Amino acid sequence: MAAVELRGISKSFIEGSFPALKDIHLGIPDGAFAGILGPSGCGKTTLLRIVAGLERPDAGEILIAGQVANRIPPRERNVAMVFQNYALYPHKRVYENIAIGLQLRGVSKERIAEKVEAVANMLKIETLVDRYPKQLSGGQQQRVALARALVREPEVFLLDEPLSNLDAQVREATRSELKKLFRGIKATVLYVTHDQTEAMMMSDYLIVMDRGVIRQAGEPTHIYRDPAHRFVAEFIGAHRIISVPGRLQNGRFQSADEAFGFDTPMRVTSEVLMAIRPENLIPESQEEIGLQGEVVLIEPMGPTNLISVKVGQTEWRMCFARRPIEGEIMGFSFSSSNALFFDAKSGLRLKPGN
Amino acid sequence: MKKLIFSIAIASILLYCLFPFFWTIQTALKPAGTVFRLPVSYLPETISLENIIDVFSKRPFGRYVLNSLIAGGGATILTLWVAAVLSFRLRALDLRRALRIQRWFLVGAILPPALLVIPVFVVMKQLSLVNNYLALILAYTALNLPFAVWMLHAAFRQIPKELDEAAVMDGFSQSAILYRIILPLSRPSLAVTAVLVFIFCWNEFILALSLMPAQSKYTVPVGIALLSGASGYEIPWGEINAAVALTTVPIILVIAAFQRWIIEGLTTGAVKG
Amino acid sequence: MIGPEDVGGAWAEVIHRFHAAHRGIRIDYISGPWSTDERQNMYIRAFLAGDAFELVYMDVIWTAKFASQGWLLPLDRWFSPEVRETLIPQGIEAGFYQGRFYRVPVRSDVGMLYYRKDLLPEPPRTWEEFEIVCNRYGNPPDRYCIVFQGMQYEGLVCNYLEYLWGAGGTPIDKDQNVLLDRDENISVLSFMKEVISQGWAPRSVITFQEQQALEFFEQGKALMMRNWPYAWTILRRSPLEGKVGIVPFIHRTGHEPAGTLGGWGLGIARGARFPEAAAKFIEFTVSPEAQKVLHFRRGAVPALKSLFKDEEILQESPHYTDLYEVLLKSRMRPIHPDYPRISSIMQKHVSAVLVGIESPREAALQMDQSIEGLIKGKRHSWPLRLYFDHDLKMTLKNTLVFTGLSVPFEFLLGLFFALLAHQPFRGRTMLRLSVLVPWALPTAVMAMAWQWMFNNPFGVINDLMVRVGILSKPMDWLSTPEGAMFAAVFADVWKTTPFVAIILLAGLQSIPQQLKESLSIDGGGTRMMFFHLILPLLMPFIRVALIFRIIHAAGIFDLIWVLTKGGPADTTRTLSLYIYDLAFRYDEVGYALFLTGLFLISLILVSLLIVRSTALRYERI
Ligand SMILES: Nc1ncnc2c1ncn2[C@@H]1O[C@H](COP(=O)(O)OP(=O)(O)OP(=O)(O)O)[C@@H](O)[C@H]1O
Ligand SMILES: [Mg+2]
Repeated sequence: MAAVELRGISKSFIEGSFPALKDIHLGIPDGAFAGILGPSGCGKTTLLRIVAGLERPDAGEILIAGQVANRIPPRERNVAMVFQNYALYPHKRVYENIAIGLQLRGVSKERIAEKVEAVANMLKIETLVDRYPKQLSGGQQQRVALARALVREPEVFLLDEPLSNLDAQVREATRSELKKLFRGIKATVLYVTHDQTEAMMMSDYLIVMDRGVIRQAGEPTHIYRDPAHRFVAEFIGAHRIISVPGRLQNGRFQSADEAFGFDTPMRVTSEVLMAIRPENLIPESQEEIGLQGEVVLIEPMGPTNLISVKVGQTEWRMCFARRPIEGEIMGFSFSSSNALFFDAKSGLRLKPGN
Repeated sequence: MKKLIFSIAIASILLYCLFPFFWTIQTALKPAGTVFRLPVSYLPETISLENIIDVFSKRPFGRYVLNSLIAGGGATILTLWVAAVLSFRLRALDLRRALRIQRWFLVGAILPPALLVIPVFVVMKQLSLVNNYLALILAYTALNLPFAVWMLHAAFRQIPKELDEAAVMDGFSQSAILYRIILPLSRPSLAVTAVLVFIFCWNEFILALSLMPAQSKYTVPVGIALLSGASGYEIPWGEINAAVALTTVPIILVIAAFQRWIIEGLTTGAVKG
Repeated sequence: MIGPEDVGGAWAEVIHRFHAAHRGIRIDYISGPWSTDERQNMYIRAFLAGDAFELVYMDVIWTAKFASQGWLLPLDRWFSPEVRETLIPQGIEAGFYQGRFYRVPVRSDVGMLYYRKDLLPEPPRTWEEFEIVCNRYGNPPDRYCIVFQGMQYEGLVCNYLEYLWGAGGTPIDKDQNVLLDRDENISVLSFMKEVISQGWAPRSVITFQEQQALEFFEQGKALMMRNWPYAWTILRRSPLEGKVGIVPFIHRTGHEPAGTLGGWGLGIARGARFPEAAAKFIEFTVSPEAQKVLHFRRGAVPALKSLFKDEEILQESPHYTDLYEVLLKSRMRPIHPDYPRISSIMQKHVSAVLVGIESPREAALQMDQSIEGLIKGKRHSWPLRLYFDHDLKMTLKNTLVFTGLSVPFEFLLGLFFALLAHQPFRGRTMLRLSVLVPWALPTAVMAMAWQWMFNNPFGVINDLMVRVGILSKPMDWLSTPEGAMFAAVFADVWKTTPFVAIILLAGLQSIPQQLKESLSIDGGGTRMMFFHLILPLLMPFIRVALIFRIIHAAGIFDLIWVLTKGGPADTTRTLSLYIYDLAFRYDEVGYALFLTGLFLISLILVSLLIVRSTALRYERI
């Protein structure tokens, strides 16, 4: 059963303007750690807030644990949210910050003390409970915010970029801790981020959003290998994917600048974008399709170098250990099976089958 | 040289601002008999509390203070409460709309009370509220509301919206958010607003004069302005100055305690209108 | 009932005795302010508020107004002609309005002439004799001939009318014709002016009320004094005991002398719950018993005729025989519901003559016209009335002058304060704090303090200025037109400069430091900095302060109301004061509301104009 299901959710803030969410359909499996990934302003937070009940959708249904939740007020939805800036009550001590949700729900004092202690121990903040939020570091505040959510033992956790306010080192450490933590309690988590590395590493289930719509949802590795949309291909990956405009005809791809062409198993005839990941490029002509061009830029990255080679109108980036000289003519190659094709107009993935 | 001129300028400002106050106090502290004496003496040779004691014993000055406290205190509490609720509502709107609404509010705030007194009096008379503390409390509340809303709205806006949302998730109701989160967090602003509103009420004259005609309902400024002499023809300057000193010293102390916030509050309050 | 402070406990005693005789009736005596004007206003506000006092303790001149408003119960039922017969006829007459009897006189009062028996062989009876006596026996500035009440207030009208009646004139006749443009009025005003200009009276009489005149006389610095009977009681306990006599006021040869009738009486409010009890009390107050208490405890001149022949009283106050004569010559001020306004017009112009801003002829004509306009003008519709409204024009002018003087000063001074307070230096907090002080103190209360500081001769401002050498002798700030306006503007500037300074200071602080630095790197000097950077960026703040100040200066009320009451000769009376008087003293709430509306609209227009004219180009985009 899906822990959270959205059916046809739409939302726009200003009437007539571009909608923040457009006809969203989504099912998040029970116990999954679901990452929501997308560029700034694509509607991630809005989606989360709609699940939380802080925002009303214009249309569509929200189901939590199989129940339609549209009319249930936030506090009865049994979801907990961790905000990007943590939203701790500055005038209350850490202990009260964690306990207040239980207090308002009429849990007995002893029970609250027990639970808060357990959660504080779990997050290693037991020594901080008498402090005020201002007296905590960013990482500590983030744990308190997390504790506040955990202590209520909700069915669904909503986390809105919880790591974005931390510096790089703490973030990395926390990332793995978080994953372990939620795996431990087997909760369903919706986790918003715009950092694709974070999303890839943490999620069991990944949702990629763009301008109010879901471009693709599924297992992260699957999405990486088999992007359903040009946007997904471009957004996900360690390095920016290379895309070359061109045309498919009679099973052959011909680049628009006439620099090269090759045969493919594709049957459609259309204007397309051919995309290939830099990590699939190989030095010299070891693979079936070989190209060469002038080296225009070299960016050293420690063990490897990011090399930009100009072929026709397109700059191709690749990571090689070898360090060429700028201006040198360099050859490289790739396998046609690694080439991905997207319709130039809709951005949808084209596959050999159709 | 430049420094000297600067120091002189500063000193004369200080003198200019404080002299009337100083003079009042020194007259108040003169023994009653020596107030009318020439040549004018600048420091009383003997300090006497005679005038001050007279103000309380011979006249219902204590009563005036009580009236001022009731009207001013009541108005301050009511103003803060209404302003808090309104500001909370305004905060829920997006900033541009909230500011537009507020601007209209402020147009009302700029009017001098002398222009409002007659309509207010007519209304209060219809409601049979003349000589009732409620009349002053209501009038003062209306008068100070725009300013208070301005101060509180600005303060509330400083509090991130996420805090409310976190509170909603935690199970707070809307009013609980206001009373248990927003208000405690805005305590400094509330305090300054309260102080300023109270000072405005404490100082207000024309409404108090018109809406509370019974002598037993005079507020301090009205009482002082109408302070009467024994024979009907002599003006008891010693006692008047004592009363003035008694009214102003507390204000000065409060101002001293809050001066930084008051300057800030005044400037945010006044300027954006 | 409200009365002045119950000195000597006379009223307490009367009430006590009444209570003893009439169990079940309770009378409360409330001590009101000393100013009769204020007590009248208290009654009016109480009547307007519909929360009246049962017993109304009235000055003679209030009767017509209160009765015409229907606030009083006619008393004919309780006080038959026979009862009235026992009281001083003038006092009774003054209790009538349009044929019905509303007020029972309790205390008599009349203006008369006190003279030094030891220094003058004969008191002067006529103007001519007066002139001779003055020239022969007067020796200013050590000993002036006469002192009277010359300040702009009701007392001045009492003085003036005595001259006028004594010259055969009268302000308004029985058919409500105004007769003030006649020659006798002009000659009266000229004579009064002469009394001062000839040095018969000291120049400072124009600031005198009863108290000051009495003090002056008591110190032996004048041969004669025009005053009320109460002065006798005080003089008797002074070094002048036995050296003073009383006669009716001087008159013109061929006419009768006259004294202005004053005095207090009791009426019953129309809404009274216990009129019977109230009437009983009034009846008791004019009984010989109560009248004696009032006389012995308070020095009140009785209203009961028989007491003037009472052994016990005559023994204690032998002068009552003379006083009785004077009383029988007393005359009523005009009986008209609008008397307060009529009086204030007369005050204004008589004062203007004494002060020297109007000639007797001008004053007489103006007086006549204004009073005529007032009596007839009420019938015009409001917009038309605007045109005839002399007071409106006058107060509008004063308002403009006041605003025009105070706002620029506040502004420049405020800017100066702000620039100084913006500099970093030790003690800056102290400076900012003390700048807040004037702003935070109650205006009405501080106006009292200013009144004291501008006092002549005990005020510190006179003292300072004389010491420094700006003035050669103390000046009567509050009773000369320029002095009063100066005092009002000065006090207002003191009070509100801080407000301007605080706002401009905030503005200065909002100017980013980098901008100044970049300009000084670009080579801008201080002046350049000020005019090209600071001033333009300060504009929004200047605008707010300006609008605020103009509106509040134009609507000024409390400062002036307390400091000068609009005087002298209405030269500091502003629109707000006028509108307030219209509503609360002249009972013209409708017209007052109408003017308020107009005032409001014009203030809004002015504000818009300021916003328009000060908006810089980049702000309009
Ligand atoms: N309260 C609001 N009023 C108007 N528009 C809003 C509001 N909240 C969000 N939007 C708009 O809706 C769109 C989606 O916003 P949302 O906050 O969901 O983006 P996001 O994906 O969370 O972005 P980010 O990564 O920057 O947080 C944006 O275009 C945003 O401007
Ligand atoms: Mg977001």
